[in-house]
Amino acid sequence: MNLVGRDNLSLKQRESYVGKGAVLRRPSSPVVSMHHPIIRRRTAEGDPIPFVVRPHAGKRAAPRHQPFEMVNVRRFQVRTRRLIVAPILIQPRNGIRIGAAVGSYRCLLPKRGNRGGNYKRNDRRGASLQQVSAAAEFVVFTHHPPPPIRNLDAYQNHKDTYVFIIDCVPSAQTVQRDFLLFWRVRMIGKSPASNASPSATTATRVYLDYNATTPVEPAVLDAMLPYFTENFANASSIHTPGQRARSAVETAREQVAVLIGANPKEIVFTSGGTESDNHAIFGIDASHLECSTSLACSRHIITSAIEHEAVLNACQELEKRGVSVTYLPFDKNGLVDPAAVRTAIRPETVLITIMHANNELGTVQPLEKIGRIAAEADIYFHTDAVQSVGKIPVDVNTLGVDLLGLSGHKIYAPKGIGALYIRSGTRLPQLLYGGHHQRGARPGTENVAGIVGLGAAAAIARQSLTEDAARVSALRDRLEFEILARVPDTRANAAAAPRTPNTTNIIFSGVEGEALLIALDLRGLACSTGAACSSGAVEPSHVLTAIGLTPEDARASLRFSLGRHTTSDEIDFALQVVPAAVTHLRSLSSTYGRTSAVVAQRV
Amino acid sequence: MNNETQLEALPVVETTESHVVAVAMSGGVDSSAVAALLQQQGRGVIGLTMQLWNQRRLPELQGNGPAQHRCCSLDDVYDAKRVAQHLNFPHYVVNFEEHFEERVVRPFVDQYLSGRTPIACTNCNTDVKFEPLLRMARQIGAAKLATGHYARIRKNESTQRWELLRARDDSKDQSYFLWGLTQEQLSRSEFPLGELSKDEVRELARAANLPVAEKPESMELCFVPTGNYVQFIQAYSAERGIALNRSEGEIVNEAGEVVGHHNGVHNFTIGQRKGLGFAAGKPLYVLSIDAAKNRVVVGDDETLRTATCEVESVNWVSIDAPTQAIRAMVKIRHKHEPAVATVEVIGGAENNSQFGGNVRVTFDAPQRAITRGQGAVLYNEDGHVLAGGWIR
Repeated sequence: MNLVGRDNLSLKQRESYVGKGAVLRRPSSPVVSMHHPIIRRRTAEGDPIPFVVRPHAGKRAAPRHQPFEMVNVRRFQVRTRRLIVAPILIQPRNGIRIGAAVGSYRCLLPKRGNRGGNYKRNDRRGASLQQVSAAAEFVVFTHHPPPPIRNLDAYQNHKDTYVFIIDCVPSAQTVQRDFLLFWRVRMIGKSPASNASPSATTATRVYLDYNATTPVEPAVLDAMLPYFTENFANASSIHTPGQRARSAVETAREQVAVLIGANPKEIVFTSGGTESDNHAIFGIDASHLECSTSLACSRHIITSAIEHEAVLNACQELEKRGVSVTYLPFDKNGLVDPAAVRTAIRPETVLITIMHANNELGTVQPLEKIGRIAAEADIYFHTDAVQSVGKIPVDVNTLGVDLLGLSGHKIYAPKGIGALYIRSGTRLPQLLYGGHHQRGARPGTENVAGIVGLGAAAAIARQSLTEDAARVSALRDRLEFEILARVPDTRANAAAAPRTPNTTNIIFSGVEGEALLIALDLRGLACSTGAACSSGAVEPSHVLTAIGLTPEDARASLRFSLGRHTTSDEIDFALQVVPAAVTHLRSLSSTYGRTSAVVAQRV
Repeated sequence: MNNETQLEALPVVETTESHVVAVAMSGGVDSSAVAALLQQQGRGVIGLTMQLWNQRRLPELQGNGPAQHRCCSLDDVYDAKRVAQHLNFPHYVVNFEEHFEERVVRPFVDQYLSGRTPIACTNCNTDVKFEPLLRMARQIGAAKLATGHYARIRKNESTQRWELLRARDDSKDQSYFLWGLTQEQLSRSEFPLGELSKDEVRELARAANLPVAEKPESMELCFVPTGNYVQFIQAYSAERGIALNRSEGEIVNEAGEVVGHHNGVHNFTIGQRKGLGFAAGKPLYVLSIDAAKNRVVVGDDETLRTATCEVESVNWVSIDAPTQAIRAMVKIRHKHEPAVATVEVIGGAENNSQFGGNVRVTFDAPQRAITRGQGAVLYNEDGHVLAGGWIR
């Protein structure tokens, strides 16, 4: 049944065809162009992505039927910027006017960060061209074809105009009682703001790399925003605006203190985890520089082999300056033996620094025991708690730490803000020299907005920690269990150790983790392997080799870290793409061609 | 037919690998232009940049030159990323540091110390770019790997063989460095610039508004940015604990008479004239280097010219190994004008007809400074790369 070109049909007539399940197609229809290699489907496994367009609750929506029930809509992605294929939905009854991608037509864009097909109605002016081109997909409501565009050159010459329709009503298909039209839209020129890249943008994008960083919680952002604009004052200023900023800073200090069971006076805001750790380590070392005899001047630090670089490289720098450092070894579960700490203590030991939770494995160290040992020996005890705060309960007194570093961007606050807990009575010289901010402990005008954000994030973390941990660990366990069950030759690293609820690290034997990471990213799943160096290349993980993995296994390991916003659907998505990607990689893993050694020169 | 089935019946083009191409991006103008060109052709592009050499290593070798002259530096990686961002395709940095050192740097140094004059770029192509990088490209879903090399690949439909040809722009031709590619490697590679001139490539880069369009070219070996090989070999050997033979050795003439002394054969390359460390009545050149005897042989320009050489580890590229002597144009170093020669297979290919065989090259006219360790590449008159191998 060919309805195309018969636009004079009434909606009712159309619907009657639809009801009979007619396939609407014009023989010369641009649907043929769907075969064009430029267009390709981007779904995870080549399956349609089921999604539902939620009923529109606008005033004009007809009340008597559910407008947009749509399942199994295929999302089309553009392979180059030249073509956009936009699924267009006709909602027959509520009379929404033509929507298209150009000018003042109405168009629905996916809500930011939403993968479920929940569309934001852009009713007033229609979406801007920029918005349209930036969106990987969009849905337009229409029941008439848009008017032909007459002057193409005008669009081409307009700098910001690059989307227009060159064909309309190419095909219609029934979806329950609605029409689904595919419109062919051409895009001319290139938008600087456009994100609609061929393969970088996939229809679905799942982020399982929350140990690397977290998004700023909307409530946190809301709390911060006034401190960029109306409440911009310097917290050290005497005037009323300054006092307002000061009070916000002190509230935040309290919120952070409460999260880790400290006194607000013991919290110093820093630029992040690295500064906090550096301040603690270099500070404690410096406080032992003044000594009466040269013998007493020798210093010794105990740390572990799987510390974050912020600690590890600080210790290595101190080694260059003559401090001796013991790097404690690990068992295969990535745990340090408290007895080994006790053995390593020397008379000149000035600091024990052991991380709380490991970033790559998620293993949680037995800090309480080490804290007691440190207390007995009267040695300062520092922990890098960047990966544990907000994920598991952290209490400085239970852990027995004197110094603790934490970072904002790991707990849904922005990057560039962190805190250092300094137990009162600890003699810790400042790292930076400047004004009298923060009692002189950390000079530099306070990053008020960042501090407010950290405080708000800490408050949220405290409130939702238990609930988050239960939900996230259930998701993590399912992910881990299912991957191990579905993919042969896999093993979870350090799974027997106590771990943060969100982290799993899995060896995919025989697979290059670097290739798997990229393959997964191209399929829309973001995860991580090892540590990235400044160029973004993968470096062998010192953590994985420290727990006894062979270099091959270390290279074959991938970390998935979940977050507060991880959904069950996202885990399903991961479980869909990971096994497929691993299978694909393994099928290619035997090196083809000759071994190139043949060409090696004879020496 | 229910509604859902109709939806299923919608014509859909499946993702086909053949449209996705990985581009090896150095951050320079050539490889960036490749990415732009392929994207304009409607191909799905994934950018890959190799991390080959740790810039923090051997800092004394970095020199003081402007950053863009240090190939493979972080700036180049960022340039590649900028291009990818500008053209809006995914880009990744892949780490082949260990592989590069094992397959390229170490052999380079070993060769040098054994008195040869190696070319690292050929090994890098054969063993890094078209080996692990090509594999990575395949693994992440690209059918082919495109590079910014100036050379051409063709499939000969009658022989079913993949042929390698000189670039259309003779002055930019890089086929000399690509003779080691196997049929498999050639079948999975693309050199989109082979038909273009450097000016056209620049023009293309400008037209695409590439941020690297005006970037100068890097000419030096990437891990020796200063171009001072001797300095590099000394620093590298010191770092890796390779003992250099710095003991005094003899410089002899062809008759075996001692004409001078030197302090390590690694300081010399064949054909070298300057820096022999002694004055002679007429210009003398290094004729050969004998690392085992710690001896350097010198002679005048005439004696530097020879007509024959043997080539080992020969890879037959555009043709099968011939059964009888053939005539070919043979190029013996990058800047050498190919010279007519007769080439005959002299065995050495025990179990593999394509690789590892040896040939003897007899030039019609003697060639200057035929250097052990350099590549010898055989061309026919149409510019096909027939074969290549190492001069021994």
